[in-house]
Amino acid sequence: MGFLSFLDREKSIAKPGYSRWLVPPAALAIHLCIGQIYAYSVFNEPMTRIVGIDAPADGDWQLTTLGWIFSIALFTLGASAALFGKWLEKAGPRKAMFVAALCFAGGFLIASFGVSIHNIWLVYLGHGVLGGIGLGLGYISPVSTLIKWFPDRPGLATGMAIMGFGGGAMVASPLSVSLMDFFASSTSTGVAETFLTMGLIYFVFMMFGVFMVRVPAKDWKPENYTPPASTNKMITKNNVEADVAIKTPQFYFLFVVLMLNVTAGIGVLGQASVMIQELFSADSVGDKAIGAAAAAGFVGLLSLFNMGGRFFWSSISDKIGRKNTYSIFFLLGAVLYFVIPSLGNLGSAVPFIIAFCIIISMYGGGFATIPAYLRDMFGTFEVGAIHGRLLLAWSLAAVFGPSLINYLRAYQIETVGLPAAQAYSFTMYIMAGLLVIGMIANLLVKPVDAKYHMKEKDATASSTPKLQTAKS
Amino acid sequence: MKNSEQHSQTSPIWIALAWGFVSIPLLWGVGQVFLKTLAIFQ
Repeated sequence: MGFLSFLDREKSIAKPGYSRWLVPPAALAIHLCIGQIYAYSVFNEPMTRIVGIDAPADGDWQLTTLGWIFSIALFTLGASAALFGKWLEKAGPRKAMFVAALCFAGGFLIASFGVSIHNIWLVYLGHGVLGGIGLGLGYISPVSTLIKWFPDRPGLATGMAIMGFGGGAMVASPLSVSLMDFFASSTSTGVAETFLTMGLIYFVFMMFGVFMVRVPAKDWKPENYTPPASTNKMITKNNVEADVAIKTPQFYFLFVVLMLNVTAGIGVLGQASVMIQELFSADSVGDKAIGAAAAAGFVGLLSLFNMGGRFFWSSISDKIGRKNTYSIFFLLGAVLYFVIPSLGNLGSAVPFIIAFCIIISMYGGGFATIPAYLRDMFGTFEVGAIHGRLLLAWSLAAVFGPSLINYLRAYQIETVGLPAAQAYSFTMYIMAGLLVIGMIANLLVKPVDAKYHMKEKDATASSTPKLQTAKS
Repeated sequence: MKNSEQHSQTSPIWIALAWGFVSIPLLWGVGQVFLKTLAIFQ
């Protein structure tokens, strides 16, 4: 069982001389793959004509049926990250990333079989449940590892990995379309073959991360790094166990912070294309109307800012602090959401586009900064497990956020009788209100009470064997 | 003698190769999206 023992945490402890700059590529290899989930919608239309091939036929799946795949995957992501976070800390990132690769790639294979025999339950099982477990484990394990490798720049480190999650959709979308075009024939839409191929590609790519990842030895620190002598109360030098962390008010304030930041961003992402076309239609702005192609370009631009914001804001947070970073997200976000309806009425799309790009950069930044915020509050000991439990906030926001936005919009149009363009204004004000609540939750985050801290001997007993300093 | 000098250091070539392996698909994806965004300015 040589390979299985290779996966053990003890076998993945870096030897002296190992460069920590090999760890971000390992993390990126995982996140670039699992970020595919955000490009899942490219399969929706082809999957509605698996039977009819050229057009939907009797027995073909409806879009509403297919929409559940994404929801199940996102829910399972949060649930598995919460459930398996503690196991991950004990088993180590290599084993967790290997299991993530098996689940994520295996999910593609099962879904491929499900599509080929036209069984939606197999697709739910493959991409929803198994893929969701792969997402959860794959998301938190590299992040937790990077935080331990970069005690001097945790925001930058987690930003690099989580930026990969944003980039994963950019890779997956054109790759999926190209593969479906390649495999499409008179008897197949090419979806099943594409799933099979992508499963194999992703497995190989994720295994690169499995082989490359290392954990630092106990007491390892970067060369020439001395922990800052000044006592910043918002960065603890103690550790809090995951089971204890969920009993602290800080955990729940951060839960609200993440959930509302995500909800506000999802409100834009889900409606971006339709919204810009309706606000800048030929009726309202004449020649300057935004068409479908330009709207698709707008969505692409938002994706770039979503990805770039992950790296930018989390790196900034190392300089100005996590609490200040989130205060910027909530304050600036609320102001922008509040003025966006007025910007839309100016008739020029440019300020409107700029405002949304900034908002989306802060949405991505929120994901990338939260692991470092947790590390500041609860220490590094079980930060992966704590992060896993906090990701339930993302699941809740991802599953219920779009429904809330759609409901509010439908209510404004169908019950109140507002024109479609004006209905967006109300939604924007709701988003601004949510961000104000998020701001209050963020302001309530204070250092964790000392009664929750682990005793030093507990942390030592549970940690890895001691090795010497490695090269930074 | 420093402890780190007693052990082989990671080669910069390995680091560059590892970064290249993950950067190429990422840059390809970013490039695809960037091309799409140009439609805004047309």
